[in-house]
Formats: sequence, C-alpha cells, structure tokens
Amino acid sequence: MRFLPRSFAWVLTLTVSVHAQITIVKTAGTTLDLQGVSIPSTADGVRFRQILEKNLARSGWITLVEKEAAWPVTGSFTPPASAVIEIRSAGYRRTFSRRDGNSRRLAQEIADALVESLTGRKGMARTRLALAGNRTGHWELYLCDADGENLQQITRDRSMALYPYWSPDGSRLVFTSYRSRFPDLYLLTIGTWKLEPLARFNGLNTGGAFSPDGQAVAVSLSFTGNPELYVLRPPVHGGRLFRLTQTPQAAETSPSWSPDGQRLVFVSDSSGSPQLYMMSARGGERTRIPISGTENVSPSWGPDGRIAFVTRRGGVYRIAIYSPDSGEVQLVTDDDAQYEDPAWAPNGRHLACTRISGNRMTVVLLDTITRRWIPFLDIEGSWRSPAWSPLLP
Amino acid sequence: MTNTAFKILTVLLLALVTASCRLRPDRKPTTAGTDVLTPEEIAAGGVVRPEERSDVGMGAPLRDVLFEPVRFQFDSAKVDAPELSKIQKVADYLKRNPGYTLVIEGHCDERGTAAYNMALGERRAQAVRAEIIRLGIDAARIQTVSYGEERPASPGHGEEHWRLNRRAEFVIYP
Repeated sequence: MRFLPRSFAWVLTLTVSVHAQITIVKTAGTTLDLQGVSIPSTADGVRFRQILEKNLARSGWITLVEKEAAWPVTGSFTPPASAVIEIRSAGYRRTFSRRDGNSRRLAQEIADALVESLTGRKGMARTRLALAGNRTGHWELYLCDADGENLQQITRDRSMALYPYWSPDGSRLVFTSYRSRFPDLYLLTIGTWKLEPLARFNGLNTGGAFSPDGQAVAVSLSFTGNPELYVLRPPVHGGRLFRLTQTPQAAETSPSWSPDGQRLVFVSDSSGSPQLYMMSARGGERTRIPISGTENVSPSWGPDGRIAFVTRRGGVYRIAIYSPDSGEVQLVTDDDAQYEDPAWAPNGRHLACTRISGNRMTVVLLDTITRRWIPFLDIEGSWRSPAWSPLLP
Repeated sequence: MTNTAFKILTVLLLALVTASCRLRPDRKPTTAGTDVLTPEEIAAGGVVRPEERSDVGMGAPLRDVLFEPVRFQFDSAKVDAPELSKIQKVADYLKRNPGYTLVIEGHCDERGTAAYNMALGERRAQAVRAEIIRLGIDAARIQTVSYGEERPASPGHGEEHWRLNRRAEFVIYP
C-alpha cells in the first residue's frame, strides 16, 4: 500500500544563505511519530521498540519525531510477535504476526512495510550482511542483520576467510578461504552450513561473484600463472569453466555483474595501474571505463545500474559512483579515511564498505544521498569485506 | 579499363570483408570469446579444464631451511636482476634435494587496496616461480600462495617497513 506518489514524498527545503544565494537541498523522506503505539515496558517490548526505531532510522527515508509528525502512528505490540500498526490520517491499518515468535524479525518487517508504504522506496530491514571479522585472531566470516545486530560467526577456518558474496536467492555464500593453506573458493549454504569447494586450482582462487540468475560465478584464477577472469558454472549447472581474459602481463580481478547478467565490470592493471573495465559476460573485447584517478578498483554494480567503486584521489581511497548511462562520476566520501570494498544494499541507496582510519578497520553503512556514514555494528574489533544479501523471506 | 576497375573494386571489397571479419569474429553463444584464446580452448568452445590443486605444500614445512626473500619495487611484480642470485640458491637446493617441493609466498606492502594486493602478491610469487622453472626445476614441484598485504614481515608504516613487506618468501616441504 502506498499513500503518496513518489515525488510527493520528497520534501524540498529552501535554504537562504547570508549572501542571499538560494540553494535547494533535496531532503528525502518523511517524519513519523511512534509514541502512539502501545508497547509493553517489559524487556520484550523495549527490545521491539529499539529494533523498530533503529531499522526505520537506518532506512534513510524516515525521521522519527515526537511532535508535528507527518504520520502519527498508533496501534500495539503484543509479545511474543504480533502487532497492529495504524496511521489513521492515511487510512492505513495492518496486522503483523509471526508464528515463530521472532519479535526482532517482526519489527524489521514492520519497518520495511512502513518505508515501502510511506515513501514507495524499498526497505532493507529484512536483509543481512556477511562480513569478515578477526575477533578470534583469524579473519572469519560473520552474518549480522541490516541493523548491525544478531551477529553470528559462520566459519571456523582458523586461517583467513574473506570476500563473501551472496547468491541472488540468499541461500548461499561464495567466499575465499585459506583453510587448506591456499586461497580457494568455497560455497557455504546458509542454515545447513554445508561447505563445498568451488575452485581450488593452483595459485589464487578468489573474486567469487554470483551471476544475477544464480547459475554462474565470476571468478579470478591464476592457474595459468597469472590472475585472469573466468565464469564458472558450479557442478549442478554443468561444471564448466569459461575463460574471459588472457593478459599474461596483467591481473584481472574483482568481477561484478550487471543487473541483467549480460556484462561484467572488473579491475585490470593492463594499462599499468588498476582501472575498471567492462566486458560481455560471454567474453570478447573489453572497454575501459574512462574515470580519472590513479587507481579505480573494487567495483560493485548496483541494482539500479550504477557502479560503486573505490577511486584513489590525492592519495586517499574514496568511494565513488559511476553512472554508465551518463558517464558521470560522483564522489560519496570526502574525509581522510581510506575506503574499500563497497557493496550495494538492494535498496540502491546504501552501501556497506570497509573504512580504515589510523589503525582502525571497520565496516560502515554509507548513505549515498546524504553521504553520511555510521558504524555498521556496535561491536568492537576489526571488520571488513561486507556483502549485502538480497531481501530475505 | 572497365575490366581493371572491376578487378580493383573486387580486391577492395574482398579486403573490406576480410577486415570486418577480423574485427567482428563470429562467436557462437556457448563460446567464451576473448582477445586471445589458445587453439585448444577454441577447439573446446572456450571451456578450460584445469587440474585441481596439487598436494605440494599440504604437509609440514622444513622450518630450519631458510632462504632470503626476493624484494620488489612498489606496485611491481618484476624480479630485479640483483634478486636473481637468491632464486638461484633455491633452485640449486631443489636440485640437490629432488624429493623436496617448494611453496613461494607472495606479499605486498599495505598501500593499495587489500583485494588488489591479493592479485599483486600472486603475480610476485608467479614471477619468482617462472624464474625457478627457467633454472630447470619441474613446475609440478612448485606452488604459489599470495597473502596480499595480510602478513607483513614488519608491521609498521613508512618505506623502511614497506620495503621489507614487498617480498616473495620460500618455504620448503620434504
């Protein structure tokens, strides 16, 4: 259900500066007041409210206020996991309930429903993040919810597990692990935690990225003596390996698929410095993406067709977005920290990325509209190489 | 005259057709086309079938056999001439111990992104591997592993540390 046409949900703020120049700042979203929702002050209730508020705030489209809200919300939460949510002024009333009694998941469903109904934008509360953390002394993979909570360690390789990437149905991850001493690619099924080797050829096996149809994985392998790109169809899909590049003097890495699965963007240093290239997913000629910057790496092709990547400007690795249609490049970080590994949220607005400032390495949630970032998790330790799941059931 | 003009036109047309064929090779949908496919790959329709990783480097290494690491310039995988004597020593050792195998570890300094350095470390290890093969050691006795920037030899910042971290290390397996 949607109450407003998309354009109406955008609030235009006029700012008049002292020099009488008028700038129009496009502020996205709307305001919501949750005080009218009856929530028991038990531990359950307090937790439910926290999760709902956190997910609404993280969406970027909703600001919670205590007066003069565009949308005063009423209704109630009944533990363990049912709720009625009502916005009388909009004629909105919906009941939510979960048989599994998972109140955290319930709060996330409500957050997404409100975002989608009030703004017409996709929510992201029902997604998860896979990332690497070294709390055990080794880099292992973890999962957490889009609100940074519900952290769960999912590998115990005691070596180095990095660069997870979700299958498009959210059921599996492909990642690189040194569990055999050598960097190999593995598939991990969420829930059963079944681990299968995907590529363990001589040399480097990394860069695994599922195609949008889930039938193939783009990979970077060096069994020829040099990292090249390939498309791998796992055994259930025929078990074939197609070569995409052959550059004995350069490395091709970090493939990412276009949303329609027809093209790949990747990194090659064939020009002498690492730069972004595009190629048909069936191989053929490569096209260099003309972007300034001494290095352009870590591309992530987003759901709306824009490519987030890391660009080196003035010695600093910043996050930028390239629009293939217009050729426009937009910088989205401007501080002195170093950023790596951007990963799009399925909402096409947020990125998760690694942020390195001094000796501190963490994963942040970056809003590409406001260009503000917050730590993704409130948990101490070093975090890196995030991968954003699709919307999960 | 007309006949000559016709001949020239035919030759020109043929040249054009040939040129356009070169520019737009006809690729079947199942073929992973690329700039340079090997004849074997073309015969197989773009499909490659590499062997699984060998078991070189799977056991316990000889901890008391140490070789000097090969050093590299910044962002380079080229083996500089002064480094060749280090590689020669390893090749000589492997010749004297024909049952032993070798793992070459490629490492980078912290500059550049971690994902890029993973590939750079691999290229360093592979460059050293190519030299050892050139010195007469069987390729099947050598494995490479890139640790990118993940395992610095000297964990500080600045060129005096970076110089030590850009390296290829040798690990011998009995």
